[in-house]
Amino acid sequence: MNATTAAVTRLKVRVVTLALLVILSAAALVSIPVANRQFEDLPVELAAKHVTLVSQLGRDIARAVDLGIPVAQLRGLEDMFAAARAAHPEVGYLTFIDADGTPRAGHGGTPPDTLLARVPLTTPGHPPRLVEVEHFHALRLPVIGRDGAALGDIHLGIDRSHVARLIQDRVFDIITVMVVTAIIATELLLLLLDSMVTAPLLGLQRWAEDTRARRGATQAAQQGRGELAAFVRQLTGLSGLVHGAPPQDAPSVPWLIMLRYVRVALFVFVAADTLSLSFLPLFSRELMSPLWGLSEDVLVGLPIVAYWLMSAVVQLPGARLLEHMTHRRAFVVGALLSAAGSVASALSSDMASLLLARAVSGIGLGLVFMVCQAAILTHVPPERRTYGVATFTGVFFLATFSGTAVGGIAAEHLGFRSTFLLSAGVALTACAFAVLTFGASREAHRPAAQAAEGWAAYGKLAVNPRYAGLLLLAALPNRMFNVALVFFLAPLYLDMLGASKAEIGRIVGVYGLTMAFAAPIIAAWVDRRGWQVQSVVVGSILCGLGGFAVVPFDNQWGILIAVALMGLGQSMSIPSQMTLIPVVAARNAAVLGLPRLYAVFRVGERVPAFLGPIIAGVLVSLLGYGAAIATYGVWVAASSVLLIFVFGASRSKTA
Amino acid sequence: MSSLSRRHFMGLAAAAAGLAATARPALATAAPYRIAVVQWRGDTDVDRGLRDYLARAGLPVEYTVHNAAQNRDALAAIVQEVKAARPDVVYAFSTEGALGVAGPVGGDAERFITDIPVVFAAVGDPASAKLVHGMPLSGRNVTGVIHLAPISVQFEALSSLFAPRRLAVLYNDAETYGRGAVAELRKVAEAAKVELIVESPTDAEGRPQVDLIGPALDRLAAAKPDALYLPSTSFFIPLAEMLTEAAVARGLPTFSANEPMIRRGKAMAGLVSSFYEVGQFTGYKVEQILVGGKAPAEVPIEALSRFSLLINMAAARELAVYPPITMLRYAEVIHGR
Repeated sequence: MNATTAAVTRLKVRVVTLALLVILSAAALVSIPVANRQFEDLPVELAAKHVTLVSQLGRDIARAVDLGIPVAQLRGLEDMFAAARAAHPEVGYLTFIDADGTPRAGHGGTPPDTLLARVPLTTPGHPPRLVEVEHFHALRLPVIGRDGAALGDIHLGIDRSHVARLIQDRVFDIITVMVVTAIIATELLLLLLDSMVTAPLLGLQRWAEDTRARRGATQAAQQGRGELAAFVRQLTGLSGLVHGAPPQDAPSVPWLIMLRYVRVALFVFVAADTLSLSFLPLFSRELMSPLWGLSEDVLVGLPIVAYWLMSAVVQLPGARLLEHMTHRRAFVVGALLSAAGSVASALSSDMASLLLARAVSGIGLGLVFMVCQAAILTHVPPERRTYGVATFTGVFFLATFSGTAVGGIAAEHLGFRSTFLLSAGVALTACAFAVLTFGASREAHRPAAQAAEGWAAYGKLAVNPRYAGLLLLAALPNRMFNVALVFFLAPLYLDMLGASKAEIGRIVGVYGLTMAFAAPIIAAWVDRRGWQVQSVVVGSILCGLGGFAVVPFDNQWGILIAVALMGLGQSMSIPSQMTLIPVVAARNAAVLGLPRLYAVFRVGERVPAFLGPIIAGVLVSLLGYGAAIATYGVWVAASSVLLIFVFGASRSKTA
Repeated sequence: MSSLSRRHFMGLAAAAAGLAATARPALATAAPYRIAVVQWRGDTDVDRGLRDYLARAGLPVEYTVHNAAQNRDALAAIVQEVKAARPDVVYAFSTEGALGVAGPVGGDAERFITDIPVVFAAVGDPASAKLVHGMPLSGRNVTGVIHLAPISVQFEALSSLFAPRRLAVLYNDAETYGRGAVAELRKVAEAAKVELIVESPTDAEGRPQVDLIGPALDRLAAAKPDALYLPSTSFFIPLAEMLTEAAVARGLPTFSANEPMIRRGKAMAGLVSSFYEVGQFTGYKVEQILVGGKAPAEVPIEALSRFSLLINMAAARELAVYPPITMLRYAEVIHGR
């Protein structure tokens, strides 16, 4: 990092920190009173719903009495109350006390009659009157017969801990919105700073270096936007007058700026694509129609499987496409396919059309994924590639987090189909951004493979021990454990442990957030020391060790630790794997070209990843959840140890 | 196909009725279809449902009605009359009627009708009665409509209502369906650990006798059961009022498989199909054969997909045995006499 870059980085850190402080403080100022008011408003808001519930139960009792069943001989009240409590888990107890004061039936931990007698009566048509009794918000409503006679009262208690959990969930929603706002604000600020400050300054620096070398101004100084860029252009123009016209072999956009452009384009695209992530199973259920004789449970998950499977399968043909297209054009194709898939999803009328639409979106995602990774590898210098890939990985998870959160809110207010259309609109915005910022120059065009590829070349790649080792002993076990734990074992096990859906979402979300924040920091550190191999091995072992957390902590904490260690371990491992590919397979790259090397790697790790949950299911049926997670951990850690031997053996052979 | 036809039956019925207006002028000029109606105990709601359905579908039909009046010997003579008349379809009511007309599987072709399509209705269990080779396709020149919920489903509803530990059963041992139903009931009751006490008002020669009903009920009541179950029995239906009042008089809350026992009589509850709707569905099967050109062996034997839980509150009040409050949400409450 030179002096100019360091100075700009300090400036960016200060501006972003200050801006975030202002934004988050303002948001907190507005949100804290809102959250506080929840503690007062929510019980009353819930009670209004429970007045309706109790009124319905009261009508059932009144009808039975009207049909001639004596109050003392009412049958099935307990069952009726039990069903009502099952449908409303926040209801702690339900009790019917007849007009003589005799308790006739109750369900749940009902407080003593003496305490219930103090609960004021809520009369129909009036606001609910709640009082706190033991650990309940207590409510009492009369049951009136058709002739107007009082038949008794129904008592209902709302569990205060449940109310507290609901409030906690709402507070987490507010915090989520604040975090997403902060992420988007940061991305925008950094884009502005890089295009309007960093780029002109880097150009000025280059001009100064050129002038010192008496080469005259270059087009490097033409980079950037805004007043500062205009000033720099005037300055370098003056120099041009003195030293003559700039040379024709103008360098490209500085890699830091290009990385920023790729980052923003990818962020906007992935955020668009993940807007539907949270509600896709619900939407699938709405469109449920018989297909290929598959069960409903399998069909619900099929659109998301089609999406991810196509994003992996498209990698191999995509690699060939990249040899004939600029990054800009390939990104546009990918984003347009994704937008078309989203529009088709919005218009889909049955399961078959939704599957097709999601598959098209998956192809779009796969292409954009490849283009962005290829752009990073093209523009970022080899010694900073781990950082470049980590930026890519981090932004992917940040955008997924932001898109999913915003998508959930959008779906609630706009509906599923409109959110798909919104997704298409945002994907087109990403497309427009890429058109404006991705270069169409020769440098942005990846060279074709030097020789025509054939099965023999792929065969040589398959027997390259370090490439195969990296794929089979690091990437594949990590990916399979990742899919099995994050998408299958953790949600189901947490559900079995009694965690709410919001808690499950938060614990599983720790994986993405850890990746988003830890990957770039670790990568910068790994790049400085050149410890990519060590990073892959240690990261995988850490990921595997996470699986053992459920042995001593067979509870939510164990899962949280496993997920967090997976995030941390894969932050170390995945970016370094990408950096190592051109290194361990340099000769293969000369024949096949880098895009194919990456494509084979991605297909090799992702397509079998779908076996992850299936193997996990078998392990769970044989061993139970905890042991299944630990077994996966053993496999990932043991594979990493084997990888050390593979790299050691092949190095000594090379030596 | 079977569930599809059930689900779309009412829709088809409505569509047929709609089409009738346009179809009738053309059809009116054609020769009417001839249907031989073989009744077991006179005209029923099933027969009315069948006639109404075919009329709304615009089919010109000429009916020839034969009433066996619960006499098997009369059925043999009816079969010969029908054979001579060669109608397009024979419709037979009840297990006894259908067996008397089409005969059991492998029956004598001289004694029974095998070369004219036979459509039955209100048969409880055609397979146990050996009326068909299999279900839902009969494997012979016969199809039709089942009017009863499976015994296990009826037992489940009965158990929700009475939670019995001892259950009395009054049936007609002379009827094929009755014997099959009791055999099936023994299995489900044993699995649920419910004791069964079974009586049939039949004489030494195996014939049902009205005056034996009272003594049979007395013996059942003496065992102090929690409830009385009446399986579907043609013999009992005309006696609905007398039989169920006798049961109430002995303090027996009654669960019946037949609608008239609850609507007309004092059976406290039952899980039933509407006889009129059974008749309409039978009409749809007849239409598939006459207009659709299908052979009976290609037309599945089906039941209606929905059954109604009927509760007679007058009987419940009289017995002071009340249904659970949750059941009142989905049951059809009859206020009774």
